[in-house]
Amino acid sequence: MTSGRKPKVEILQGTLDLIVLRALFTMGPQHAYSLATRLEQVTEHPLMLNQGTLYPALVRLEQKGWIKGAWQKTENNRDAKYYAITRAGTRALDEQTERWRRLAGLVDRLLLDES
Amino acid sequence: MNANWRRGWLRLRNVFGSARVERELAREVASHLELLEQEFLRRGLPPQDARTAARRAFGGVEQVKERHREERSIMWLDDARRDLQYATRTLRRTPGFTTIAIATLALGIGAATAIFSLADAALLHPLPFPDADRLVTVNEIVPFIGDRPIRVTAPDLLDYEQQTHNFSAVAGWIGISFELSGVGQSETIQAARVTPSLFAALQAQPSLGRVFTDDEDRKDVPVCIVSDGLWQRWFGADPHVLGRVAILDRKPYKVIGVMPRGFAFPLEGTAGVRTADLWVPMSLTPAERQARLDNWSYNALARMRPGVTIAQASADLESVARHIVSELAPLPNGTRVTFSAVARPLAPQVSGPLRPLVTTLLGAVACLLLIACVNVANLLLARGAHREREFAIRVALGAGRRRVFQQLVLETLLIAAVAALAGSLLAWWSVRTFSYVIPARLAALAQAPFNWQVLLFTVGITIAVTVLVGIVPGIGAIRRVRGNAMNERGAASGNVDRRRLRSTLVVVEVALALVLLVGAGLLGRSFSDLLRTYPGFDPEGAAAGSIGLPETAYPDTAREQQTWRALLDRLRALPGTTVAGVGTSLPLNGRRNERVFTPADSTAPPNTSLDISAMTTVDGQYLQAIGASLVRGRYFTAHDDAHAAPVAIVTESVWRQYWNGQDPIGKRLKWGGRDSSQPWLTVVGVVKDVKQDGLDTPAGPQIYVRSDQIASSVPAEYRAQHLRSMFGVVRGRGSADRLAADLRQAVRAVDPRLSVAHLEPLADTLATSASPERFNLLLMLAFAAAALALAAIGVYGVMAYSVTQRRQEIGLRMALGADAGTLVRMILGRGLLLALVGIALGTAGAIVTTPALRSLLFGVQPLDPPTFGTAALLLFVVAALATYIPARRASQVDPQIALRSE
Repeated sequence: MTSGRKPKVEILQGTLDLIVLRALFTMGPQHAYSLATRLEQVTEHPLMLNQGTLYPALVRLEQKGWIKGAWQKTENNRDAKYYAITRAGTRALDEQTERWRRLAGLVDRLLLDES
Repeated sequence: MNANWRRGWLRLRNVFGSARVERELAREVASHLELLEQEFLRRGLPPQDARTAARRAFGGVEQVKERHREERSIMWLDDARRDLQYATRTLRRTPGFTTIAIATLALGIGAATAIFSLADAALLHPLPFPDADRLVTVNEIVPFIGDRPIRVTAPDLLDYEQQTHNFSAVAGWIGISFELSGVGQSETIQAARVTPSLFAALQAQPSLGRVFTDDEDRKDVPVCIVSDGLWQRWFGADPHVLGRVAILDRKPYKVIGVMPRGFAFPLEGTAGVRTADLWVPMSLTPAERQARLDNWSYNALARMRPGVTIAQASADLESVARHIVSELAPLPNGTRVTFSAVARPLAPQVSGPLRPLVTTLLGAVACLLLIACVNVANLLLARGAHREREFAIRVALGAGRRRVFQQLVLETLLIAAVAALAGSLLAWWSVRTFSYVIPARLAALAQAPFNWQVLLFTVGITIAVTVLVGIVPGIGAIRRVRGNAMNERGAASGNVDRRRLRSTLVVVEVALALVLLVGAGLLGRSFSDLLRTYPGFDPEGAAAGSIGLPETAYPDTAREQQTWRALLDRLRALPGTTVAGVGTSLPLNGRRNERVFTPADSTAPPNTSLDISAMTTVDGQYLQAIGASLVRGRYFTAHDDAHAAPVAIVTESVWRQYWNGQDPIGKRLKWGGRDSSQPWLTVVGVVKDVKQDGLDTPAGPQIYVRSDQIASSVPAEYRAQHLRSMFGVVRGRGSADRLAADLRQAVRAVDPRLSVAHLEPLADTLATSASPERFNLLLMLAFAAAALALAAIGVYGVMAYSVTQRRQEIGLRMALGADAGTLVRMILGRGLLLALVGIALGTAGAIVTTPALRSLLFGVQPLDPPTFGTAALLLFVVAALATYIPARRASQVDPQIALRSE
């Protein structure tokens, strides 16, 4: 990994984690593919460069204990790893959402004042 | 916070063993790709395109996996772990190199650790007492005896204890031996009479019970404190031992305390001192208290108050001494006696005698370690040559030169660490296994387990070794990678650099080996000289042991004499015994009694100091039994008894000193000064000097007298301390062990409660006395042999490598008609040149360093030309052999094959 790309990832990191948590909260357990597809649909354009970009976020959230992965069969009877939000994850989602709103409001106000 | 901690822990865990996670990820990615592919197929793409589209949508699989790894684990740690794995694998791929490198360094580090642990104990922590730097001995300097500090008298000891201010405690002690009986067979034990203040001075507490009170000391209460060892051995580690009784010299003493394990006092190391197993109160007798200016046998030990300097402590003692002197009455002849007192730090007195030995060994082991390092550096350089292409490829693949360098250093560190581990085990094992060759005074210290200083030392030298061994070849390798080792010319110029460096290393190695060889050679010559010195007695076919008659059972001279006679009669009656005798001293035992005497008609120039000689009182055929050789006159006979004229036998020293050039037979001498009322003794024989303190110490003057002729006239103190405790000596046919057993049996037959202490063949006594020198020599020889072997390997390695490198050149020369002899001479010449330069450097090094050995040498000068010559020759021959083998191989090169090989 080159260090030049880091700032962009850093900005994205908080948001991406939040979006994944939110999606799992509203849609229930999902595998990485459906999650990626879902995110592309929601944002109405490819949010990420490609679907693999989701993996670092998933392992991060799993290590924090906010989501939990388990192998299950898809409706087409294929193996896939399904991620579900945990109770700690739900609590974190509330906190993070609240914080995000406040931050967004603050940025909004600052930007409006500036102009 | 909780979530972050959890994640941190999981990331750390993933540094080690994340194979399962990796497999799971691969499976998940595969399933993801499959789902994507299905989707594209469903949308109607042909299978081939669906697969490509799926991969495109997913992104680079390897990149994703790498990002996943970064996220789930701690990268730099993971890198380090992987480097370590890589290093392990690389080293395992060349087991020959790895084994030799590890073995070489393990030898060096192990030897260094073992010697350091001895040095640490002997020099840095010689005293096992708290705040030991405040402990001093109190000594007196009495001009009419000599100018050396000596021990003190009993009344002076009491004055120092009561009248000084700079000490928190002043204590006195005196060694003594007891017959311990009561349970099973009695034995002789080493003990000490101590003042109650001793334990305060040492700041030592018993692990059971208490120490003596002043009251017990004053009232001569029979109480004792036992060592942990004696408690275990004699009292079976009885937890209720307090109040039990130890029978000492047939008198019951109540046990009031047990000292903890590891408490040792007095300390071995101070000359002639044996650690006590039992302590009794000093309880000075009225006679002892009044013996002012009489018996300087009392050891005084004091603890300075915090902040007091040695000078202040001495001044304090000196003012007390001046006061004592001012109150002394002048001697009958009108002269005034004077003396002074000093405080001397205790630690150097204990470690001092060991210092030359230990520093020499430290120096030698440092040499050995350096040689080991040089050898491994040499191996690494050779290995680096083979690996340059590998490095170049790794750099070309984007590894970064720093990373490659790190990798190299890590490999060295790994070798050094494994070697340190093996070396520590080796050190631990060898100190335990070879403890019997370690002289007693060092062995007591070597019991200490590895402590953190030793551990720190081992870690320290491991790092130092890594730096020394790994950095230089590492830098060289990296620099050459920059010069692009992938092309041939870069490699060739690298070879020249490397050959020069390796040659330098070999020269250094040879030089260091020579220093060690010279050192070992000097010690070897000095040891053989030592063994060749005539000890004054015949160690073969004789055995001796000491026997003490307790006062309670043997209250008077008559009883004693009768017992010694009975013992001698029994010994003489034994079939294997030829001669037997008893005497108050034993060769090489160190125990002796020095007394003032007056020779009549002395030819010595008159001097102010007194004439002093060791006095040995004997009975039976003592001199014949030890095998003393008669120079003039005769031995004592049975006719020299109490009714005959008193006689003496003197050693050659006495003859040469007092009646030089005259016939000694018939000369007279008496004990005491000129006015003494002791009877005159007539010299009837002269024997060769008998060594008393050690083979390397010149024997002082000695005078032998018959016990029945002097018993009535000697002072009571001499009778109590010497005539009741004698050495029995038997000489005869059969083995010395058999004789020793006979002696023990005869003693028991006389009195079943008596025991024989230190019973051993005289040959063993002789061997023990040379044991420090033997230990020293053995270690130095081992180091020198290891150094020689390493140097040979070093020379061989460099020459063999250079022959391999020059195969083409050699092939060309042969093709052009050079014969094998010329080639061998050419290569031999180069190897021998290196050896000669090394030998020259080493000789210079040895000239500078060997004078430090002077105090360990006996009869050999530090710059002994034969030793230097022999060492140089030996090293030269070994180097020649190490060169000859590769040279010979070079001459057998087939030019056709050699020229075709590249």
